[in-house]
Amino acid sequence: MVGKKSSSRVVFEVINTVIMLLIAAICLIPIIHVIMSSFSEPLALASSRGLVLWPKHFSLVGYAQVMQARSVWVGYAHTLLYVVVQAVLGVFFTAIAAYVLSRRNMMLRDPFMFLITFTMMFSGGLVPYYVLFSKIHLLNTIWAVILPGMLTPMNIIIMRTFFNSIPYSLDESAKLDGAGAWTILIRIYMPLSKASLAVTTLFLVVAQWNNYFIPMIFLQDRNLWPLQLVLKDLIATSQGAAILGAQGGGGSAAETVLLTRVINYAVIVVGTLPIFCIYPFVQKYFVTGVMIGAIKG
Amino acid sequence: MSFWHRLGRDLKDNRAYYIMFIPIIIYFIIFCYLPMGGIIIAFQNFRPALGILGSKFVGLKNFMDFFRSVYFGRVLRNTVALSLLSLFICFPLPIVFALLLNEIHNLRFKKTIQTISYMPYFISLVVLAGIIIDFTSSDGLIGGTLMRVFAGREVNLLSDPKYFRSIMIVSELWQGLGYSSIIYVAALSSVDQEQYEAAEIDGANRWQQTFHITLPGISSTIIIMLILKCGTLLAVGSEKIILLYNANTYETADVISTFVYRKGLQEFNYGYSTAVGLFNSVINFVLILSTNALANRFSDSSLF
Repeated sequence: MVGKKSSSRVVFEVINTVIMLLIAAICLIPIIHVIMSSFSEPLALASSRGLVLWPKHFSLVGYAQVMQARSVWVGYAHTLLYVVVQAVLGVFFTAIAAYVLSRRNMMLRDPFMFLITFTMMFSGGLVPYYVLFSKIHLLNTIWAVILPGMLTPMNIIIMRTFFNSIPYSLDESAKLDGAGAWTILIRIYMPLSKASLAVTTLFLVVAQWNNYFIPMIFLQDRNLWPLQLVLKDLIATSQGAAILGAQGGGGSAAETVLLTRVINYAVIVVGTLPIFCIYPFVQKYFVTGVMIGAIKG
Repeated sequence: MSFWHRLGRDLKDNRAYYIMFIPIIIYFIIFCYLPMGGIIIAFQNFRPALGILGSKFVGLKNFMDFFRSVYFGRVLRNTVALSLLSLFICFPLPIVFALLLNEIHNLRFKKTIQTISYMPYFISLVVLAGIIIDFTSSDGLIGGTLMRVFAGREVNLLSDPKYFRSIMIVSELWQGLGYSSIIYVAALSSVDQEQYEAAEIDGANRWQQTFHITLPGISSTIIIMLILKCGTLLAVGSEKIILLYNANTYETADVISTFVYRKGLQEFNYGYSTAVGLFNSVINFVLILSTNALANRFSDSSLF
């Protein structure tokens, strides 16, 4: 199989490897920069220029400020609440929808499918959505964040693809044994398609963890804000130190500005860490989901 | 047997399924179809206190106001410019990346590069915006160091409209290159390996193999992705732009969706904002249908 490689082939492979390493470096450098900056001392960081690939005067000042900030913890708690409730409800209802839509001999199945896929192509737009939420009194409730995005056509289509691959004969023999629709869904379909449950969970969790737009328009009450919205407030206003009520450091305006930068980096790390921690374990499910989503979408 | 008769029989036979599906139908009616009904707001001088039933009907006034305003040209131009840049830069590069990745034969190295290249995708928009603000500020890596070397002076890139599009495209590429390549990498792995061996025997070189085997092998995937991309040509999302733009950069940064957001939810001009949103939705819808029709005509791959 391995023949003699031509010299142009060798040149190509060397260049290709260099390009790949370069792309990997470009992907990683901003991430490393943020992490290293977050462990730096505010004054040393301010006097450094360009990339920070190693902490400038290792210090935990930024994290100390973040740890004592109530708004960050309240945000964390709410993000967890929104993520968990949405994932549990979302996976359950997505499974129901996918199950019904994978039935044969059901007259209204295709109209139902159309009803759902049509919403991917056309929507009422932002204002009617906002007016609806205000009319049904969902503004400033946790449901304003949990319900939008809980059921998506894409997730339903992905799970339906998995369900379609389960042999129908299994279904029919369960029916002969007297199993009802719910039993078949919960005892047969869901256990047999754990990968699709994982894919749906993953999509829901990542989307909700990173969600800031829906909470921004629907939650005026800061006590309900998820972490991303707290982060946005800190980063966009560059008043981090003031908002968090930073203590120590003399309190002069200049020092507050310096401190804010380190706090921003620390907050970014704290807010991204959980997703990065689960990422290596779920990567394969993510790839599966993207594949089915793209082909069947 | 009449249609209604059969339907009645079906509803009875499949009763359990229909009952299960009730909450799903209710969800989509409330959160998708009721807002579609709310499109009526676009034809009204909508006042929240009066509601949809009580607000005054004004016909096409909101649309006319938009088409005649100076904003119409600006938001349309910015939306199209950003879409086309994304189509010509962010669409082909993941394919190139996948092709190059396919030429790496050390599996562990390949896997590592892939894993690293997906990582930026998991960074939230808020954090991405934070990183962009940091890198493009006049004391950051790009706005400071690089601009001093190449332009001779430090610039806060986010406050200058002429850099906004580049910032959007570069950040989109950084975040999406690896993620968008997933599908092509998978498609490449299913190209029949025997074809390469046969081509080798026929004396085809690497370039010929790429153009005559590899690209045709993944062309249906590319076409599907292209349709999806074209269907979203005027659907430039507002979420990233809202985090990065300001009044100084509206000139190049303001797109239809950010305009809808600002007019509707910040200036409370409900009818006008809904009209602009509807204009956008209708164009998107037509784009999706027509790109799909094109794909049907010129190849055997289409979405529906």
